[in-house]
Amino acid sequence: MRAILRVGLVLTFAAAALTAPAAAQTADDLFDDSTVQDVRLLVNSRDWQELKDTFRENTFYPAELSWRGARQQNIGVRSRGLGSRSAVKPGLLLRFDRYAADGRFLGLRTLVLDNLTQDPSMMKEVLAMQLFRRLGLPAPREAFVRLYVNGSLLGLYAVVEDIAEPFLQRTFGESGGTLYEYDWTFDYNFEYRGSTLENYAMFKPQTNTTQSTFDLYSPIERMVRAANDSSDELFPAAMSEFLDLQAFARYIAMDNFISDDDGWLGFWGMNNLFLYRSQGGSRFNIIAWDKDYTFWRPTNDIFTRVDNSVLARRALAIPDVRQAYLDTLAAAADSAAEGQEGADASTGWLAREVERLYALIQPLAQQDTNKPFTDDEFEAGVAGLRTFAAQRSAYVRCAVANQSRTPVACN
Amino acid sequence: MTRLWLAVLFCTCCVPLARAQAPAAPATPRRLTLPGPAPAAPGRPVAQLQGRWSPRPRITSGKNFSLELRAKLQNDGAWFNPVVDADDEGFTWRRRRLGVRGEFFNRVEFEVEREFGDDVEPWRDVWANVKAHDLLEVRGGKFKLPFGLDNSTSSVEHDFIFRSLGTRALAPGRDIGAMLHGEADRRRFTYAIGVFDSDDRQVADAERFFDDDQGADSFGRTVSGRVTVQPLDGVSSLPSGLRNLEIGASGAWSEVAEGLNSFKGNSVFGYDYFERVWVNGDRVRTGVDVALVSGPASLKAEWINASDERLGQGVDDGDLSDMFTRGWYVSGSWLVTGEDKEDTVAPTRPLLQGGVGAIEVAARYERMLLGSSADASEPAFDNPRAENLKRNQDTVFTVGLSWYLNRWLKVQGNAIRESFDDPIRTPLDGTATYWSYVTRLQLAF
Repeated sequence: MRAILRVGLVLTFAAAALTAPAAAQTADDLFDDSTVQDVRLLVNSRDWQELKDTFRENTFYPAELSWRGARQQNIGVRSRGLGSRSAVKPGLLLRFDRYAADGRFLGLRTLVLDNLTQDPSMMKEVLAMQLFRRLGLPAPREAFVRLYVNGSLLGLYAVVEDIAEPFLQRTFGESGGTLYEYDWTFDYNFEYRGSTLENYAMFKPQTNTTQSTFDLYSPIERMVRAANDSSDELFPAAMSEFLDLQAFARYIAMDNFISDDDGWLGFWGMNNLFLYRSQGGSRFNIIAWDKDYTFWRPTNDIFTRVDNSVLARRALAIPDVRQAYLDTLAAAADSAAEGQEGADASTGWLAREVERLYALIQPLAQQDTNKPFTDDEFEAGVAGLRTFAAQRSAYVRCAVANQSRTPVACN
Repeated sequence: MTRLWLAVLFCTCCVPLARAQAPAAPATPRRLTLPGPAPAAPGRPVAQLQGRWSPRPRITSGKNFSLELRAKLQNDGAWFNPVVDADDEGFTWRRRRLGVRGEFFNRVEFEVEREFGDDVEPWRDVWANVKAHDLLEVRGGKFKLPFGLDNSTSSVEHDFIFRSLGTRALAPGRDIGAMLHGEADRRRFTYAIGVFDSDDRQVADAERFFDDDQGADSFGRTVSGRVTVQPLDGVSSLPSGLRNLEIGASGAWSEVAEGLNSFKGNSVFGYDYFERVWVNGDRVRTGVDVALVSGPASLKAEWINASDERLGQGVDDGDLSDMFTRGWYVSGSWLVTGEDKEDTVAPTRPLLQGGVGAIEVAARYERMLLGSSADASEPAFDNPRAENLKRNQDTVFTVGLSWYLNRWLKVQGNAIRESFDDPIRTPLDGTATYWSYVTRLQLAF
């Protein structure tokens, strides 16, 4: 009898040991960008075809997710993105609470699988978010993913931490406030659009959505009104109710450091950001989102399109806010060049990171036959990043220094 | 609609054939067949048209022809606690129907009925019926499929304002098709079986406020049938009240196209408590019912089960367990003023004719359950491709009062208590119990 018990105990421990790795996985493991994660989705073939055929729609389909032996049933998957939507290689949003309110995977309610179709180098998104986080700015965690759907390789994706309650909890220590996603619909630069609250519907509430229109949009309307209508004298005090202007300066400084043409100071007006107003607080926090249209010009002017934005222009007219802006640019330059040996820019952090990510994804990028560009274009994209990494810090340092000296040519 | 008229035309054209093939009148014609019209003797006067108003406007010409006008007007009022959607409260027209029904030579019947509150699909019954024999009649056109007791009972004769949930959700509705039917031994035995084009509306007519978002193409050909027997009729040793016991059985088979075409869970007022799921394959519906009418009282019970195949509907394209949808009820009624319970209750002392009319009380307990026949060890989910569909059940208790002012006018009031097993999937998230108070004013002839 004892022998049987012993065998039983051994088998029990063995079984526990075998199942432990899957059970012990955490979100940190999923967002571990030192490796490419293998994510597998099962979606009924009819649903998958329909998702691709109607990739502009947001219809959810039932699916099952597998990752490192962990299996998550009963999830919802839909096409996602704006300009990145694709019928061939759809960007995907996974919702673990789509069919069960308490559905979670590694504590997450949602996950984004970015299809990396707008960036031939396929690494700008991951790289940009790393830099934001290095500078202490709120940004989602990301990692590369080899995505299989119904057993077939769909391509190289980035798994992106969705901006939702778990992210808010991790970043701000609470998640009871109101989260807004900026939904680009037209060229908008923070101009006052009158007192009609519906005019600010491009700030789409993602939490507390059952609150009244007044409760949701009145703070936005008042913030925009303060940014536009307050006198120069009263502007800092008026804005301080809604925004930490120094934090705002740090955010747009980062956008400009990475030469973001589709951020707050984008070519087509502001875009790709979340605002979060903490529970019980009145100030909005800015959260970075979708940074794949970045790292364009190493010599991008450090005040690019600042004058286009009412808020940026007025904020940077305040000396200490402007100083915070310049300090952040300098800090970003230092961070990107961290570890640089002498004049060899290729040894700085950003350059090293480009090479590390390249080594990680280059074979997979070549295998990814669904990407909307050629292998040569991928290589050219990476080459552009190498150039950016080699030149950007020096340029920004020079341009920042020019603000307090007789300007010299920077290149 | 073209097919509908062709079907009606087909049945109408059968008249000469049926007459030619009608068997010779048997010794007991009352039971087996209706005699055809006698040939007009030379010089015999042609039957004159005659008219009458009661119980409904009707003109006749001897045995050659009759035509009567029929109407149904029902206005409902509804109030809820708690209120799910304030727009659903208040009064609304439920039925505004006008139709004619006629007969030629005691052999051919027809009916045309239109709903004036439905611009999309206004025609209800449009059919012709040829009677070759008591045991053999053929009906073609658009009409209600033979299935179930509750479904076969006219809405104007019902003990409650609404049919049972199981009937409303599961019983086949009207469609275009052809049906053989007949009876024997003074209705001790009846049968009906038909083939129909598509059972695109699971339940009939505007009584249902269930979301009807499925197109006709979602459902295929349907075969539906029903038999009833009165096994105790004529058993003289039994109390007379038991001899009316009628037992019925129904079945329907249909092909359901792949899609979100399953049955769904709708509350009495049409709010979802179980969403449609993906189905593909055969749909089989079965039902049994029992009714006992004795003097002023009646007892009824019915059970309906529907099973939908889900071939290839898993997230891995594998087959899923069948989905089931199951409804049953038990009900009873009693005419406290003593009239006999008949299809059309005629008050012994109508209002304004020396009496108060007839008053009837009724109660019904019913349940409707949706789920799948998966192994219970599978985790249950409410996604539309889950192997084990997370079940939800609606339990409804209705008490009702009907006041028959006279043969044509009726006022009804129902109090309905409804509760759901899953407090999340209810009309109002987190609220599991609901009360509805409904009234109906009805004019029908």
